[in-house]
Amino acid sequence: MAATDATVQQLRVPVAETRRVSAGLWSDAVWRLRHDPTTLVAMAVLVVFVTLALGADFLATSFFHRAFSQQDILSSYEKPSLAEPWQWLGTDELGRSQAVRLLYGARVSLFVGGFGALTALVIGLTAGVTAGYFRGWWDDVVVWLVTTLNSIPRLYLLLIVGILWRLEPFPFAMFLGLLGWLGICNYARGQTISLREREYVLAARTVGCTPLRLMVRHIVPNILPLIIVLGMIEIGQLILTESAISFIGFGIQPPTPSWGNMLTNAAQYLSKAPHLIFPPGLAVVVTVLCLYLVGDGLRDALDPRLRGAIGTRR
Amino acid sequence: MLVATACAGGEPPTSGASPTASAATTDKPVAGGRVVAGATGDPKTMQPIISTDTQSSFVWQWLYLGLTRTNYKTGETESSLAEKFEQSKDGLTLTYTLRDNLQWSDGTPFTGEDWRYTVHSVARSAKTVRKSTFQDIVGWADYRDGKTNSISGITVGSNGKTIEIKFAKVFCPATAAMGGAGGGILPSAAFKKVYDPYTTDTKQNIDDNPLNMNPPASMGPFVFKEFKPGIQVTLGRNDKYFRGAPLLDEFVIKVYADATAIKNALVTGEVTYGTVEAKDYEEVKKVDSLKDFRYKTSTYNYIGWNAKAAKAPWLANKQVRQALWYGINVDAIMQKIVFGLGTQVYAHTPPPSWAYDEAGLNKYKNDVAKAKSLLEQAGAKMGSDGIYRWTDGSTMKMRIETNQGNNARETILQFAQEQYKQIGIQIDPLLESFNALLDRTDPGTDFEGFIIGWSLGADPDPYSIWHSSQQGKGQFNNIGYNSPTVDQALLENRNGPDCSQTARKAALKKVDQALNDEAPYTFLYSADGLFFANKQLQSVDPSTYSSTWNIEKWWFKK
Amino acid sequence: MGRFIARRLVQAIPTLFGVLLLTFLLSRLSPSDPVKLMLYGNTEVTQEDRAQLYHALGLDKPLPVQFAEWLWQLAHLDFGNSIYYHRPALDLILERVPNSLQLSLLAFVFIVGVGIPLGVIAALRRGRIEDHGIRVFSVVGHAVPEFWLGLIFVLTFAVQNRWFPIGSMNVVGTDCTLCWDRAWHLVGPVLVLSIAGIANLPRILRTEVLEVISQDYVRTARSKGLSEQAVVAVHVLRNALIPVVTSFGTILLLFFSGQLIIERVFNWPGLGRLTFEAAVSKDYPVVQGAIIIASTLLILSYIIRDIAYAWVDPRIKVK
Repeated sequence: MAATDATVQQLRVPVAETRRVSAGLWSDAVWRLRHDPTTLVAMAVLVVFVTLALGADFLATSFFHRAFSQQDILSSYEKPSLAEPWQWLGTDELGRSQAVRLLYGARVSLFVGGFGALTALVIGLTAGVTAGYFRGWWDDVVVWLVTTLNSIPRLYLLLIVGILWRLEPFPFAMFLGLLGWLGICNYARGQTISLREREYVLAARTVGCTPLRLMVRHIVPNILPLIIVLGMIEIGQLILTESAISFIGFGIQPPTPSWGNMLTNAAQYLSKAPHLIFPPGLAVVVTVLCLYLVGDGLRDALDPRLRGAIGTRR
Repeated sequence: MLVATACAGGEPPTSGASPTASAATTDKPVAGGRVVAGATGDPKTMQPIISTDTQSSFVWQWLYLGLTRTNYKTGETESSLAEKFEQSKDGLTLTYTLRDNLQWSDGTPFTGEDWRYTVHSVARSAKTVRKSTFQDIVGWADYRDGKTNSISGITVGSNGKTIEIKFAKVFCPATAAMGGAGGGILPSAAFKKVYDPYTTDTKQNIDDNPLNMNPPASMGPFVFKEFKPGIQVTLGRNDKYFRGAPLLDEFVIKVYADATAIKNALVTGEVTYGTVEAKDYEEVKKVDSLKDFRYKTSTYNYIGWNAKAAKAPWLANKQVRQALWYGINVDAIMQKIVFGLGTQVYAHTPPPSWAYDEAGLNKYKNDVAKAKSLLEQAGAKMGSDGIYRWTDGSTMKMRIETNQGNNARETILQFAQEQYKQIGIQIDPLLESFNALLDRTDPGTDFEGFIIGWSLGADPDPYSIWHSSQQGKGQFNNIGYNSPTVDQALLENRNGPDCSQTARKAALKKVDQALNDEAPYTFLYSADGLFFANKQLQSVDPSTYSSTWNIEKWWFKK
Repeated sequence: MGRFIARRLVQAIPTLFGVLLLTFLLSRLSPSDPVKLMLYGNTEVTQEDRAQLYHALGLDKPLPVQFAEWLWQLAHLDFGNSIYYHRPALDLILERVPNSLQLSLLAFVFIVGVGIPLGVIAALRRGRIEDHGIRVFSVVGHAVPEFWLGLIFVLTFAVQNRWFPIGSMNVVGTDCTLCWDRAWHLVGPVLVLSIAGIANLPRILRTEVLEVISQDYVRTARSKGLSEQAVVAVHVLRNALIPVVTSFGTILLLFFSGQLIIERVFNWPGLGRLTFEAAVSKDYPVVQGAIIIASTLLILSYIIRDIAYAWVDPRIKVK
């Protein structure tokens, strides 16, 4: 779930090193990334996954010739075969193409992770920067909210929400985001507090910059790179959360496929169709792994001093 | 040497002793041992009157018995605590005579008063679902409503050895229904200390009292020992059991997360016996340490259609319901979801019943074109999106719900969604817990379709399910089924006056034919009982109506 | 130290208040009717009973009043009755807490016991095969869903090979807390619950150890002729532990969520499984009570963490 206080603790290092984002920082980063094959491979894998997920409709109609919900119950539990593309990963208990469902599952899982992380990022950045900049009562409120939410075990909260509401992918992702912004907020707040005392910010303030302009022009650009890294890691964490919550039956409801509920379903039919268990499991592991690796790599590229410092899980 | 090996080929290696001799020595039952059964949750209560879930009845069934019981194979009513039972010629009086020297596990004698106490407690309970069983007893309603302090139609005589029940009208299933007293008979001596029903005060009832979770005495093969929430219920041997003390020392009901976990426990030997889901049958059958049993059950699964659904007015139309039956390929369900381990049904009476007769019933062979033409005859018009519009212009879209954790039903739900799309009806599937499903589908207007099953008693009396009067809160005719012909036939079957099997069979045939034609349910199938027991466990003989009827004789071969 | 603990306890009050407020608001903001939530599975409830309960729950009063009344109830340890079991929700919850704590504490010890050595090894053998191996393990350990690992453990080590039990706390017939039987049952859940933590700790520790090693005083210690082990043990670890203690916060939060999954997979009769089962049968008072108790436990763990932190890092006391 959210990168929590420990993560933020680790991030205290860069404060002394922060400088204004310049072309140099980004070009340095790109240079470093180009010499980091692990990160490049992980990025490539992610790009492929995202492309496949985005092209799910196109691929389903023109390549697999199957819709994700299309059933053929008389050919259920079929083992993977190379005969037709839709049979590549076999069929499930209703004779649906596992390959096509994996594609759509990617779409749902990546959307839940991506959109959830984006929500978390927007809330966390806004709350963190404003709290750090204005301090006072607003800061107290934000800190209190963060501490409170950090004190409720996340799955318990998701359970109670699962009882009260029936969530479709979109509100589900949004809700995950509403719970996931804490780490990002902590980091943004800490950075803002130290940045607002720096000379160039003070200078800008004396010149008469409005607070909004100050935050948007001078503070956010400085902290954004690492926030993006935190966001990448958050995506991975949310994908794992989705699979966990699906496992206990309160996640995305079938027949809409997500990697989480496909995995749960496969576990039910293990004796009839053992082949169903590997594709969604591997998809989750590989995606989350790549997200972490890219997060790690980006962070190293942006600031080599931080090597190994972030990426705590949940 | 060579010859010997060749001859022994295929036989399991045995010792030199002759088979008959060894069988004679090892087949002598030995006492001792513990049987472990799996359950998917803690019992909600250990008191039959307020029990509505299987986890609960799985515990109290070992403690509280009825006057009669159902023969495990034939379904006939046979003696249990009562030695004999007689119905008067006019069918209005029923007399039970108890066995001699019956004793509760705590030493108190068992008498007719225990039975009387239990029936009175049912009448005043606010949580029971068993009231309709007793409604034809003389004086029932007066007592229930607090006008009298006891039911006038019940007399206990001969120092508690006989029970005489007078009925206001003939009640054909009386012997079996009365004997069970709504589940099992409670020890009145102990329960009277916490609740006394012989009063006109209807505010008090047996629903909440500490003995409900702490059974004080038992008439069954086992006695309650201990309940560890989330872990297990432990029962011990009842030495005073009237069929003889069980050979087993202990019976443990262990709680597991779900059916898959119980299956795993069965495979590893942690659980001694149990049933499995159809999808796991082949796998478990391969396990060497288990022997398997398969039998027909008195149950069936169906898709119910709420004729009173506010959001789906078309469900009140017979042709639409018939279309819904033609529109789903039940053959495919039998083949791929039930794996052939069951019997397809076309009406209410389940296959093992003596009243079962599928002759003349429409089989509703899957036929998409026919389904569509039926919809059109009913007045539906095809919309541009491939979904029909009902006569009032609304899109034919509705919800079907079922309970989580039942794999076959979950799969049927997804299958139905796709199947009904083919005939132009859009389905919104919903999974929820069993309790929530029961609550959601209580008689009312806010649900449309649901997939669930009935587990029926041996005596065929579907009155509470199909009679038009049974549509109140918590009652079973939740789909608003209303047919004067069926009502009439149900009463004939229930209240005679001719209670002979031929007469009742004819009445039930009328019910089945009407249900088959009007399709208030899409009847699906009756699943087989798939029972496995540890090979060491002897004398196990499960069948349709009971898998544990002779548990006192079970023993472990060393 | 006493004052520090007292201050930390006082700080926990607004947090707890926040937890309660959030739990309360969730139930009131939802579209589900609270009366219906309270009556799930009850067959014979009249309109009159509903109205009565509506009134008894105080649903006809303004929200702040309702909240205050609810707090007052909680203060009297009245968490309502379980809809399913007809017993006080708090009793049900409290009888499961020790089982969960046993699992968590053991997993925690295991994480520290395995994670710290791995972190030190990774730092000392920097750039060598051990370091790379630990890094790979860390990253993969983060990416695997816990329930998945649990299911695989049960299938491989319990169903196919009978090395471990398929779940629960004791073999039927044994009932003990400190015995081999319990230890045997603990292996699976503890192992799976620890994986994420074990993947986490070495990464943090490695960075810290590397940083500390390069500090002047370590170089001095080394030049004094102290053995490598002594240097690591005394100077490096002590300083590197500070951020590790901080990371316990993450590990704790992770535990409480992980438990829900692990206890279901391993059939462990703890708080997590109770909550899950209550959620499935919509036993709202139990779920609500479980959230409050779990959060309280978590807040308490944070306080203990902070005390440990103050103890490891003397600078805190000065502040």
